[in-house]
Amino acid sequence: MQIDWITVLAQIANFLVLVWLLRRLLYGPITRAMEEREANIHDRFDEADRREAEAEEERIRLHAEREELHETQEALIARARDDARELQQRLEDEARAEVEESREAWKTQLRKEQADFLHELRKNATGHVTNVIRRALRDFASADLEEAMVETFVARLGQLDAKTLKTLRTEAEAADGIVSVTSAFELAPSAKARLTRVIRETFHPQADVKFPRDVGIGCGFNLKIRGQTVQWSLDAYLDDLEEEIQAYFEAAEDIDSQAAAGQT
Amino acid sequence: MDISPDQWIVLQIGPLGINATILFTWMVMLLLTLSALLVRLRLSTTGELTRWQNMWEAIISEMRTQIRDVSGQDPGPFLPFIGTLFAFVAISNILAIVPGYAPPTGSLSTTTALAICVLIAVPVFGILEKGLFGYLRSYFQPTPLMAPFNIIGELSRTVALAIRLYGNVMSGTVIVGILISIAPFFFPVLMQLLGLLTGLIQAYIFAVLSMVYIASAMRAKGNGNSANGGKHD
Repeated sequence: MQIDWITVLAQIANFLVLVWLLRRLLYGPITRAMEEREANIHDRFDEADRREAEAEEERIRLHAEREELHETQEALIARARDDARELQQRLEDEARAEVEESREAWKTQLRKEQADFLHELRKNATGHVTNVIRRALRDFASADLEEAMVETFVARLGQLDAKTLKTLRTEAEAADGIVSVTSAFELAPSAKARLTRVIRETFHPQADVKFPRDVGIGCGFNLKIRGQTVQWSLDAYLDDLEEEIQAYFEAAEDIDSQAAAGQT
Repeated sequence: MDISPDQWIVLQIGPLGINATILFTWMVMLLLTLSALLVRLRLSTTGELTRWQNMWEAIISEMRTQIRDVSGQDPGPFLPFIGTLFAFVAISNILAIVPGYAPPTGSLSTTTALAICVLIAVPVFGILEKGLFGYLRSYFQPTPLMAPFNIIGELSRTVALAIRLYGNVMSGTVIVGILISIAPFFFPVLMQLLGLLTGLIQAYIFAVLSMVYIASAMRAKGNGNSANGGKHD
C-alpha cells in the first residue's frame, strides 16, 4: 500500500477534467432540458386549468341557455295550448251559432208552412166541413144542410134582442123593405120562401127579399138591411178549429225545442 | 500478489510510464464522456426521450434529490462535483466485472486524489458561501482552543474518506484473488456480484460524505463540526 504522488496528481487532473467535461456535456444540458420540460409541463397544466375553467364557464353558460330554452319552450307550448283552446271555443261557438241559425231558419220555415197549412186548411175546411156536415145531416138526420142552416138562421133571428130588432126594423122602413140575404150556395125555393116569410114577420111586412150568392162568406148567411148586417156562418167554428190546430202545432214545437235543448 | 494497479505499467512512452490506474481512469472518462455526448447530441426537451437521456435524467434527478436532502440547499452548484464523484466511482467499480480490468478506485493514489479534491472543495464552497473570514472563523468555534482539533478533524476525515474507498475496493479485489486460488469456479462469481453491490454503495457513500463535509462547512456557526463523525460504512 503506497501512494504514487505522480498518479495522484494525474488523477486529480483527470478528475477535474472529467468534472469540466461532464458539466459542459451532461449536467448543464440535461438540467436545462429537465427545467424546460418542467416549465413546459407547468405551462400545459396551466393551459389545461385555463381550458378547464373555460369549459366550466361554457358548461354553466350552456346550462343557463338550456334552462332558458326550456322555459321558452314551455311558454310557447302553454301559449299554443291557450290558442288551441280559444280556437276550439270559437269554433264551437260558431258551430253552435250556425246550428242555432239553422234551427231558427227551420223554425221560421216551419211556422211559414204551418201558417200556409192553416191558411189552406181554413180555406178548404169550410167546404169540406160543409160537405161533411151536409152528408152527416143527410145520412143521420134526414135533413138537408141548407134547411138546417135556414132553421138555425131563423132561430138566430128570433133570438135578436129588442134593441137590434128595433134598429133593423127602422132600417127596413128606410130601405122600403129591401132586404138581401147572401149565401154561398143557391137556396132552394122552399128555403127562400121560409126566409122571406120570417123576414116579413120580423122586420117589414112588405119586405122585398133578395138572395144573392157569394162563395166568399163560407157556410152561412149574411142578412143586410141598408147599413145594418146580421151574419151567421160556420166561420166561428172554423176559427175554433184553427185555434185548436194552432195549439196542437205549438205544443209539438215545444216538445221539439225541449228535445233539441236536451241534445246540446 | 500485486494488489495496486499503480505498479502495473501498461504503456511506456519514453521515460513516462502509463500505469493501469491512469489508463483505466481514461477509459472510464472516455465512457462517461461518450455517454454524455450521446445524450447531448440527441437532447430532447419534449416528451420523446432517448434511452440514454432517460437514464441520465433519472440518475441526475436522484442526485439532485440526495444533494438537496443532505445540504438543504439548491443542488445546482454542487451537482457537477458530487455527481462526477459518484459517476466516476460507480463506473470504475461496476467495470470490475470486465475481465482484465483493474478498478482505478482500487488504487490508493486515486482515492487520495479524490479525497484531496474533496479536501479542497470543502473550503472553496465554504468560502464561497460564508466569505473567507466567516469560513476561517468556523475553525475557532466553539472556542479558539478547538482550532487544532478542528484542523486535525478536517485532515483525518479526508484520510478516512480516501482509505475507506480504497480499502473496500481493494479488499474486494483481494478477496476475489484469494477465492480464485481456493475455489476457482463458484465463489469468485458470487464475490464479483457482491462487488457490484458494494461498488455502488461505496460510490454513494463517497459522494454523500463529500456532500456532508461540504454542507457542514457551509452551515452557520456552531454547527461546523457536527458532520465529523456522521457516516461509517
